[in-house]
Amino acid sequence: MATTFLSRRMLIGVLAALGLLAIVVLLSLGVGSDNTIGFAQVLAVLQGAGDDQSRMTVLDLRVPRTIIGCFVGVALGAAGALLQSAARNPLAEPGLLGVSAGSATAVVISIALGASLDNLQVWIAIVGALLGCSVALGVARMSGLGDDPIRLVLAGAALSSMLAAVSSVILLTDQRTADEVRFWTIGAIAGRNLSSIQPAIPVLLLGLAVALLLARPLAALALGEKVASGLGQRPKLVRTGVMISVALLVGSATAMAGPIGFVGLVVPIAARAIVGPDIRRALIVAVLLGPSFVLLADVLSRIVARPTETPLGVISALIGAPILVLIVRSQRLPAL
Amino acid sequence: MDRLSMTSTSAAHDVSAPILFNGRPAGLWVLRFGRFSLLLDRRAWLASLLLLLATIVLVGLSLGSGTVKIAPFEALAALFNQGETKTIFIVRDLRLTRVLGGGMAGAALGMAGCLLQTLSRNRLANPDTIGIDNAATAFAVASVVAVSTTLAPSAMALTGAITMLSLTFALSGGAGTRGYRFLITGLGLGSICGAATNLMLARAPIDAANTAFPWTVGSLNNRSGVFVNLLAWGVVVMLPLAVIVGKRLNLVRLPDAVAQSLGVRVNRLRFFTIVLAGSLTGLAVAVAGPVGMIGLAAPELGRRLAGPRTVPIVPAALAGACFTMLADLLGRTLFSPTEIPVGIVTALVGGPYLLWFLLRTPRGKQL
Amino acid sequence: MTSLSVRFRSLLALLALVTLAACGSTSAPTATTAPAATEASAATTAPAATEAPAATEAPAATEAPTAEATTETSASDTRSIETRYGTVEVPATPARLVTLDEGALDTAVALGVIPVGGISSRLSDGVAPYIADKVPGIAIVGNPGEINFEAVIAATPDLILTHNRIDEETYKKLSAIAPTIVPTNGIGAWKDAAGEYAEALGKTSELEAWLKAFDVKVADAKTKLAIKEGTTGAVIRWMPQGPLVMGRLLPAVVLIEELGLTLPQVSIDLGTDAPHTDVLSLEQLATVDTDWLFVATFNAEGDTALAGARSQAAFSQLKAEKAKQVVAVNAQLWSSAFGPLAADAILSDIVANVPAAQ
Repeated sequence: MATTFLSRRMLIGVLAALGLLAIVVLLSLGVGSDNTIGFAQVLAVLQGAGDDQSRMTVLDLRVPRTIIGCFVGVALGAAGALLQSAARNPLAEPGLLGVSAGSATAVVISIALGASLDNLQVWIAIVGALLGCSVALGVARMSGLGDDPIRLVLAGAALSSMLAAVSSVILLTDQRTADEVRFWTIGAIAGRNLSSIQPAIPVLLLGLAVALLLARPLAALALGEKVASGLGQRPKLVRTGVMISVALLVGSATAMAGPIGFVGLVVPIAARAIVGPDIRRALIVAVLLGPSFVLLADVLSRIVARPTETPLGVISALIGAPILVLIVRSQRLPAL
Repeated sequence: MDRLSMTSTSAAHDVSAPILFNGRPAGLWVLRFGRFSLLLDRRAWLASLLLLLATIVLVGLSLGSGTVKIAPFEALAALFNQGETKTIFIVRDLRLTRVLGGGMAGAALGMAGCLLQTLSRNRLANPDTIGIDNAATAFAVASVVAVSTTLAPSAMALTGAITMLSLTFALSGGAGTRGYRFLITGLGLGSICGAATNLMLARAPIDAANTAFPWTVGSLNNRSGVFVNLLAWGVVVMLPLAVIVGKRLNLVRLPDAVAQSLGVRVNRLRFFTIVLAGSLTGLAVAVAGPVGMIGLAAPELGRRLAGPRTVPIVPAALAGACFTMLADLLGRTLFSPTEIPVGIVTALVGGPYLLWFLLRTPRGKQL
Repeated sequence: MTSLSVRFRSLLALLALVTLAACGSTSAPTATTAPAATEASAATTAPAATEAPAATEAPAATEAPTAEATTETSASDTRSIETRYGTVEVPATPARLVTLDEGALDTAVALGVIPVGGISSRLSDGVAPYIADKVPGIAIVGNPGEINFEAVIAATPDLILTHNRIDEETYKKLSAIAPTIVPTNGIGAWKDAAGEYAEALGKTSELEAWLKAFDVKVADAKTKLAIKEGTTGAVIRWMPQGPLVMGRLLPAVVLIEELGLTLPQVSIDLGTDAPHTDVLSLEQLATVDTDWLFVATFNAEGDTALAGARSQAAFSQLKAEKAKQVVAVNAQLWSSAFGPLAADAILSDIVANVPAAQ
């Protein structure tokens, strides 16, 4: 096992992903709305020098959003890889399946009930994600999905639009919430400070740990239910685990940044393209690629409409949707 | 196996039954006009009649109820321009426009849903998720909050729907088997439009955002009379087309080769189905905005009532009209004088239904 | 539609005539009025005829106030008002006013006309808090997004005041109900918009007197505050992603400028087209770093709302925050209300929070 896992392809994949991440992190620190602060200033600040303006911009603004972007990317990349593998469906993405929408709706409800975005309770987002996830996977019944990947997506789309409507109802009756939420529902990692996302981090790490534990059983499951059972795996348990892990990951990501779609679609597909379909490898690479995608989108969000910022959710949709179309256009859907 | 579902072999049997059967086919009425004869599915016709009755009752109820109390007889008189000017204004200009707009939008969405579901053989395919309404919403919102345009929101919504329909076609490179490629491409493009709408709303001055709000949820209040008329004509013209297409689609349930041998040009039929469904959806959202769930629930009710033999275009249209009018009636009378937009009512009522529908459906079931 | 409104008005005139006749001879039997009604308009039958005499005695009847108002001043005693959609005849002294705009509501109340119907403010089910206790019995006939036409009819208005964004089709529907004033001005030129409303209400001189008194108040406040030349100030909203700066379209911004604060360039650049900028990047904070910051919030207690902003490092870097010159203000009042009462309330907010002669 160990030898296959650490194949040459895998090593190259991991190194490439790490290299990309390093470049993107640099970009995220050096590029921003204030274009007077570039790499030179960042370097100075990181060495403890630099003027107040640069220090504030780099340390209080760009460093936090880079860190948050990494967390969000890890969570969504891992959740996407897990979900796609468990559902054996390249289109199984937390956003498309309504998991993010469930989480977002729960947050909207909690804000309407008096909570504030500033002290958002992570568990609310997680409960919402769990509900969304259980409906999505309940619909899918997992095993029947190899035949019809679109069905799950259609179910997710219907679920998402229903949840969006529920949010609309709340926003209609509660304008204070509407005003507070209308920026949040698009998804963004700007302006969140590290202390406010702290509660979400342990949850995210727990979700990631569960995901890594599940990689092996999922790989066995990919061989088919019977084979997996023969190998001593318990498919039902594995699926429940996937559900919980995805809910923890997506819930914490949503609590940090609001609903951001398409990360969980694009990243795992890229990961599989690099290291092949084995979930054990794809998961690792997806975890490393996720932050790159999110940060790249975030860097774009800062510069496309200076001096304002375009929300990250819009950029990720602009990148992700064409990729979705490309996947569907390819003559037959790649089966997992 | 559920009685609604049908494998290709049983479909073949159903379709060929009237041809092979000598004598009076079961469950069908035979109309003869000299040399010509017409087979009518008894159950489908009864279902249509039942739904027509419900539609008439709902039209009556809708015309008769509202914030201003008007006696049923007075309302009826006002409908024919008799009675007080004020009453005539309420019944004809306010309520009738609303009922007509709601009924026709519902019928259009019901038909569109039925066509798409039959084409994709998937009961979850519906006009809400193919991006057309997202595009219509985005364009309508743009006309309200962002772009200074002389086009009314309705006109912009229609423009958006047409643009999206053509774009989806261009990008998906055709319908694809069972229209899947089209559906998912629409979904992806729709999510871009959704993001754009959110962005515009977030950036807009809040007063403009308020004005745009009805376009984001679907509402029948104060609709443009011109577009209600356009929609009504559209439905009238497209209903027979949809019925014909539906009949042909019944044959596409068979394997392509068999369908082709029966004289169906499969690809052209798919293309035409999607154009028809897209146009109906576009007209409906130009009037009412994105009213959800109708396109999912109406064909379902149509199928339940009409039975598996036919593609229930007419029952789905009538059921859609009923659902929409009922939802609007509830929305404007429950908390009167506060009105709840029709799209919110359909979402609230449709939500639990959708959950039940999703979780109950056994896997692998097809149309 | 137009023909309908014409018909409706001719019916009103007819009703007035009938009522006058009824007044002339109180004993006039219903039987004599009924045929008259039928002759003039086939549409009107028994109900109209029975209501008309009732109107003279019982104002509770639905049609009564309208008929009465027209009666008292006689049908010819109306005034012509220029509006965005042409000249409109309004009753000399409107008795039942419906306002479909918060600025119109504010202006009417300030001039002593209490509307019978209005729309909810965008933050609550009722009218805006700053004005709610002045219009206790007001019927809510819509919200900023949608008008409930039947509720407007049920309020039996004889005059409707709306905002300048109403489209023509909606205008036609409204004017079928009652004479409808669509002003040419909006919040950006609120004194002119208030002038249009005042004219429709026949209270132009009252408004002028009020505005004069207000100018004096502003001048007094300016002397009292004695803000130093070059002191900067801005009205913003604080979003987690960054600030959103208000421009001169809003009365509050114009007012702080009148009181002697210098606006930041980004606010001036907005002109009078848009009420506020997009959310600026936090990296652009220097553009709004003014001496005084009025932060509009939608929470009841401004300080709780600011707690969120204060937890962000960027916010604590602001000059105004360091000098404790951040004032939390009600966003509804400061960023979307307009009219005499709103202006007064905003001025009091400033005077109460900005210490004199710093």
